[in-house]
Amino acid sequence: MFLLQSPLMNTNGFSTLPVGVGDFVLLSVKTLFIIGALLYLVFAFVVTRQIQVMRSTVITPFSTTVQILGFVHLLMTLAVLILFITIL
Amino acid sequence: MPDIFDGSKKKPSLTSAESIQLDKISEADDSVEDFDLNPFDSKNTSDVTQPTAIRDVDDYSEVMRRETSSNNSLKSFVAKPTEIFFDSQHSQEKVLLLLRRHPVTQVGWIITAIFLAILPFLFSAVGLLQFLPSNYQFAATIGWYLLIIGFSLESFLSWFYNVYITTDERIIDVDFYNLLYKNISAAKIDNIEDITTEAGGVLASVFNFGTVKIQTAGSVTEFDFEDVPQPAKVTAFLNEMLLEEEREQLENRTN
Repeated sequence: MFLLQSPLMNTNGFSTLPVGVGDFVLLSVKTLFIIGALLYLVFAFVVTRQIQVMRSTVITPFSTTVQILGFVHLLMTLAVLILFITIL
Repeated sequence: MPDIFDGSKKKPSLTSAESIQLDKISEADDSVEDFDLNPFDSKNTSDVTQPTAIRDVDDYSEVMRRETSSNNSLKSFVAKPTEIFFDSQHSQEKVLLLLRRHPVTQVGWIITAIFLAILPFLFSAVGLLQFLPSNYQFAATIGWYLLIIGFSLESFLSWFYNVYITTDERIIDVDFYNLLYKNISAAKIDNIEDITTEAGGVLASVFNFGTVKIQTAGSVTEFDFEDVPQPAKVTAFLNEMLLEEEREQLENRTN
């Protein structure tokens, strides 16, 4: 906790930072969040594709549910990416 | 020269009773010529080995006779499923047993996921993310839970699609190691040479699961059915399958 509170920060947030530095840090954090969400979107897409491949490899009554889970996960990831772009 | 060698002499005429007897003998000879010695002909049922129809698994397997048919694909021991198939399955091939790792072996990642899920509450309790604005804290929490969902989904898929299938012809090992790598191996039942069961540890003893190692003659020489439930039962069933394959070959049955 102490290490995270660098000399530029205190427990009240970025309000005491010099003008411009706080914005730069927040912009960097926002960029990292969005890049992370984009990478996760790729992962979610691969999961969906892999479920489709495995669904044709082993055919079970539960396969449809698994595929729905994969699509829900992909949609959630997309929603989170949009959320990050919107609120940050 | 006796008369019998004299072909110029007329043959003695037969009485009516003698001619009827000769006709009967002739008919009998004809019937012998018509008799088909093809052992696969269903007419010849006396002393020739007959090819019989492919038998149901309950007819030759004591293990399967005691099991009820199930289509619950979330179980780790699914006997005689009727709605579970695989892509390289032959038209006459029946799935007799589908195995997965015992559910107890999955407790590790479930506990990890639960622990990770309560971690943000601990963070907020000690104020670890207080240096960030509230919208950033919210985004971090949402992202964190998304990662946990992804981790859980990936772990579940690894368990769900890592299956061991036994059909009436083959054993198939479908390995779903991770999202980018899968491996499917198959061996014919009559190529099985040795079956070994390994079970060790407290959990394996309490919950009755273990690894069934199958040595085969082929390119893939060993199949490991890892942490499957009731390994003794699986071994017994595979032995019954081997015996049935040998019986099929002896009786000249095709499968």
